[in-house]
Amino acid sequence: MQSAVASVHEPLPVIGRLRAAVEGALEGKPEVVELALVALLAGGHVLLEDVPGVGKTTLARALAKAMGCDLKRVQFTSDLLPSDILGVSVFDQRIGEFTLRQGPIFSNVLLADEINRASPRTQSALLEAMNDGQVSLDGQTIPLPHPFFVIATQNPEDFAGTFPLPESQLDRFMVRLKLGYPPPAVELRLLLDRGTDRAADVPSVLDAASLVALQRQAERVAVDPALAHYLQAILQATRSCTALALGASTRAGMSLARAARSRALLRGRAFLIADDIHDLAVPVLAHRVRLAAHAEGYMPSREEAEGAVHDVVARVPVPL
Amino acid sequence: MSAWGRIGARLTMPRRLRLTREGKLFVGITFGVGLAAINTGNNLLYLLLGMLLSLIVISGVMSEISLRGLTVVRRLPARAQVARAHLVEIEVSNAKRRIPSYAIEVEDLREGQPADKRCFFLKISPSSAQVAAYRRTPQRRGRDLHTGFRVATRFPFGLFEKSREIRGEGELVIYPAVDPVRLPADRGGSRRLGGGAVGRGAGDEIAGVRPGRADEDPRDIYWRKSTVPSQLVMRERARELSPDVSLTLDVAEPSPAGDDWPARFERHVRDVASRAVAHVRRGDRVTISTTAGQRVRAERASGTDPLLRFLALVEPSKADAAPARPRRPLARGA
Amino acid sequence: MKFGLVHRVMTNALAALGVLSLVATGELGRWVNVAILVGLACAVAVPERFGDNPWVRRGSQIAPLLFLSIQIGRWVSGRPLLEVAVEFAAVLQIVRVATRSDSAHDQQVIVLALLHLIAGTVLGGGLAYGVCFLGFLVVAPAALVLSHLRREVEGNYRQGARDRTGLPVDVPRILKSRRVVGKTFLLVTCSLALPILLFTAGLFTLFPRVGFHWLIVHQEGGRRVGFSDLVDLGSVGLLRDDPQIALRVTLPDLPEPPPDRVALHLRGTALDFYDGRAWARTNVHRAAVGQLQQIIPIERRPEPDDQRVTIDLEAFDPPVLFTPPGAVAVEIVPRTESPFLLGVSRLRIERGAEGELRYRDSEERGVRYHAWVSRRARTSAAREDMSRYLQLPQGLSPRISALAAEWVGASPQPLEKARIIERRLRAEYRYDRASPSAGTPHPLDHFLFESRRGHCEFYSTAMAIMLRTAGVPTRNVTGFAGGSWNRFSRAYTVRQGDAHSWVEVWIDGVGWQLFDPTPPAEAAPQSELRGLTAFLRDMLEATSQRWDRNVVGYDIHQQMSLLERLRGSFRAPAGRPAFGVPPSTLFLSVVGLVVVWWLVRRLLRRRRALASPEEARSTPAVRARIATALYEALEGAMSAQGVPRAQGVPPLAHARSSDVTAHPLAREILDLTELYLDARFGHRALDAAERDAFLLRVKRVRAHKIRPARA
Repeated sequence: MQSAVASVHEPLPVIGRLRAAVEGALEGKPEVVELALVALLAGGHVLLEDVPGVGKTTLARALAKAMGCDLKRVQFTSDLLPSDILGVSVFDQRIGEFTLRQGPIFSNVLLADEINRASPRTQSALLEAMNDGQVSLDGQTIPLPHPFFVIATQNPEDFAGTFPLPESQLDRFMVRLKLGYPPPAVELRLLLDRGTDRAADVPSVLDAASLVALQRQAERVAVDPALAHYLQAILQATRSCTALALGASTRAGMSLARAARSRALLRGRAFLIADDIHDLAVPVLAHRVRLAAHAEGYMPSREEAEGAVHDVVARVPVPL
Repeated sequence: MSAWGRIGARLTMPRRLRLTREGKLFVGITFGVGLAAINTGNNLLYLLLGMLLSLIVISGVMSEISLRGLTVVRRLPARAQVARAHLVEIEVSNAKRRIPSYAIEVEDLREGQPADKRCFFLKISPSSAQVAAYRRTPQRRGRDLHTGFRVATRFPFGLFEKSREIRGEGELVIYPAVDPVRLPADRGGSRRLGGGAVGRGAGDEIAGVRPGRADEDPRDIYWRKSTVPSQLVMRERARELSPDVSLTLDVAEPSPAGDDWPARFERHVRDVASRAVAHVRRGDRVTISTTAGQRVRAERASGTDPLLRFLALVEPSKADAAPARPRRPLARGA
Repeated sequence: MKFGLVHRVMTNALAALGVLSLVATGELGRWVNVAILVGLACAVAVPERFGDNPWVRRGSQIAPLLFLSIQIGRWVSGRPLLEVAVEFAAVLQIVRVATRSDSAHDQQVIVLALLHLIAGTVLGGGLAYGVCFLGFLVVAPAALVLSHLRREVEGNYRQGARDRTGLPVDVPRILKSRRVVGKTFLLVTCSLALPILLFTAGLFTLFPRVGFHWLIVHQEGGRRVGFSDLVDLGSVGLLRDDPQIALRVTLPDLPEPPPDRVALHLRGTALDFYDGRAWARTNVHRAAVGQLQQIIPIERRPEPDDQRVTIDLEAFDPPVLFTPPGAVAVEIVPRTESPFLLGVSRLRIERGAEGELRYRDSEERGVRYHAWVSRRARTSAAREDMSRYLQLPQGLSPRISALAAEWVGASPQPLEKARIIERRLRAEYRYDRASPSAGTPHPLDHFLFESRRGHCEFYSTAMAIMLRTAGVPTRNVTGFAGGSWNRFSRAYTVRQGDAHSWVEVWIDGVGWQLFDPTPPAEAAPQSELRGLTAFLRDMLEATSQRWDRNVVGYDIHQQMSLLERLRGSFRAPAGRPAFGVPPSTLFLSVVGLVVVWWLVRRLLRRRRALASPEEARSTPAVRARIATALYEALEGAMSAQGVPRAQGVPPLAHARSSDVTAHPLAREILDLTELYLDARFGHRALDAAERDAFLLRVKRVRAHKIRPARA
């Protein structure tokens, strides 16, 4: 079965428009936009990790808007309860029974701001929903709308009063992104601009149904067995690398495969190439591995983890 | 002129040559054959002698080619600690465009220490690099100065070991060892929950919330969140601002310093390091001050690096000497 | 190529060459040689893991000891020490080759092979040894390098260690790896033979030849027995088809083309006394007449008018110098002698009765000598006491003298008589090597009157005796008659089978004159080789001669003359080129070699890059292989352009990396990379035209010259 994009190196027009729409809101960051789109097309969740004020929220809103999905935003604080996200059964005195008041999680896109500020219990309630696409409330299981994304942000510089996400929960995010400061030219333009809300101007390119169709198409991208072996070799290499105390899980590998497929689709290919896996390995794997600590009482930085994954990947021979 | 100079420099590049066991055997055989040839005048022995000698010459040329155009880079870990193994990566790149280098052995040279750490590279393809790592467990704290590398090869026949030294400096600060310490109970009587990072206590800040149980202090009911009357939400209060822990390190060397004094000093440093790290991990702010007047501070947010680095480099000071001479190899006695 | 396999093949080859050079010495019996070769073949054929079996390992430790004790026993019981030791060395190697399992064993194999070669050098030294030596030159560098690498691998990677990519580095994996050594590696290491050969040749020619001869005990005897100075009609006759070379004759002033066969009649020795069954010498006294580098006159000093014939004599008993008819003087060409011993040369020449020249030598080697042949007829012969040349054996059948008288008739001249008898014998008797007369009590009588068949000795004896009955002094001469032309050494080869016997007749006023009563057509060897076999034999013999003369016999005199020639060629560059090769030939052969090399390379590359077009349409796996081959060609081109791809970098990322984009051909590389990716992972089949176009573009990338502006 040949898909519509077979052996065409020009991406589908709709993908081009989607990309252009998001990049319009977040100028000068095409790689980050691409990675975010990769995750969304692969049905994965995104963890944005950066200092405040570089456009994390803008990116999330622009993504939601371009995909024609509704966005709900929750600011995580230490007193946030699971019910604040999932919803709560409230006793309605007029009809004399409990009614479910749905929380913000019932939306297509949930923007979880500063996720590391909430207590572990709250975090895990969210993450369960992320994994299963459903919510258990008072014994009943309620499916979430489809598609469903979580875009979580966290500030890595925060230490006081935070609950860092453990590995098992980090594993649920398909990619971890870092925005970084915009290029000087772009930043200058932003300063001169009158404070318009760029995310609000993003046109809706897709709707929920066509997004699901695109996701289906990404799943059909062909993978050569040699590339599967390559991916496995990378996973194996992270597990046996001495610099890493904890290697990538099987779920990580599956995420990488899905992400690579959707990147191929984004690039307009109906087949996977080694570059897809190679380039995505760091954003997909770096937050799922744990560095071997060289000294007690020290927390490895994100750069070190990414560097380690990068080194590992660079040493796995690419199949030809 | 400059070309001649370059050629001269190439020829006089420092090389060291050592015979291996096989090499001794080979040279012995060659010598024997040569003696026999000269003595008997048997031409075939001369022929054989020619072959053996030319093998030696070819060996010299090939090992030279193998060693040429190699650059070595060392990647030290960000941190290293006494009694805890760390990895040092050695990357050798071959700048030659067509010729691979075979059987390269790189020894990492450290100042004042035996060169016991080596990495072996079977083949380094032309214009590419190979990485290998060795594991090392430092035995004493302080500054490790890596001065360079000795690149050696026994290629091609294993008869001679030819080596040359390449400069490549690096510095690694070895932190003192840290032992797990059980700290005295906190003044706030804190409970430790599920690896919780922030202590709970009696402060004003809200540390978190949890579902309430019966007979709990009604003052802790968090009314803002208690939407259902049967399920009260209790508020947990954060511990009051953690106290400054102050640790003192005695660096003054007693004037009749006993033989065991250096060892005692090291033990003292290790002890202080262990306690400081335990405090920082618990969330306390720690200040270490020495009797020579140096101070260093750390807290959870800053990590333990400043403390450990300070303790790694601290030196005993003679009672009458000026305090703290910087940059000297430390802790010679350990 | 798998590292382990290449290594095994190379060390096996080295071991085999060592054993072969031992076998080539000829110290061992034929059956022992065959057994050793069979054992070697089995050892090479044994599977690789054979040595890991604990029983085999134990056996390999015990077997040599067992064999050693057997050999010691044999030695004690009287076998020669050399033979016993050589057998033991060969068996040791065979056991080691069959049961080796790690690099230490490989080293033993190599050391043993080297020792075998040394033993072969000392004991043997024929052309077969030379071939082994050359093979050793080619194989030794590769075998040594591979063994060294294997040793390093085993020493540095312990079992279970892992490399940085997490793959286990263990020795078996590296031994199976195809990445360590490739074709180029093998080619380069084997072609190291060339510089080694040149260096060896240089050292060989330049190393001063000073033989100290300390502690050397010269052994007498042990020559090959071939030519015989005994003529015994009672026993079975000479072997006429022994192809072993006796000597080589270089004649001056040959016509072009030289005749295939010439009748040389090289005179060895003469016999004057016939007892009815065998010839013998009455006078056995010999007098020393000279030594090395001295011209020894037979009749007179050579004159400028004389022709100089050069003869290479192989070593055999008796050590007689053979001279062509009409020789007036001889001179031995000096050979390897220590300058310290020049004054006391051990080679001496003695003159015996009947014009016989013998040499006495301490070494079992042939000699090379010049003989001057006079063009003019001799006149200076003085008659001496001729009675012994007229002696007749007792009990000579009277019908022999009757027959002689009948043949000679009334002619009074001795010359006339001799001619008649020669003619009659040639015409009326049949040549037969297996003469029935040989065993009879009166062989001559039987030959002349009963069988009428016989070999040269019958003819010569018959003629000599018949002439004696007629009162003409005669003597029986033995030597070599014919020689066949060897186009490679440009000399006439005389074999043991050419041994011959003829008659010298005293003619007053002339001296001794040669008569050969044997029918000439019959005297030629019966089984002369023709065609390709003869060609190959000639070539082999010529090579062997050159080996013996220029390598084995290389000495300080040759060394000096070579240096002189070198100096001469420097001094007069316009003159004849050194080493006898015209520059045009040299140039053409170099160009030819380059062209052949280029063609072979091209062919190989084509074949590697392209499968047949039928395959292209078959399975995805094949298409993927083709695409990969195309990309590998591109990789080669990129390496040539200085932008090689690292193993861990994907092709597209490489094409877009900053290194490549700085290159002027970045666009082309990117295009080609995308084509490859499409074909490889997009499974788009490439047709032949597309593949050719791809290769063409790759070639252009490879050939692109970077302009200096970029540097």
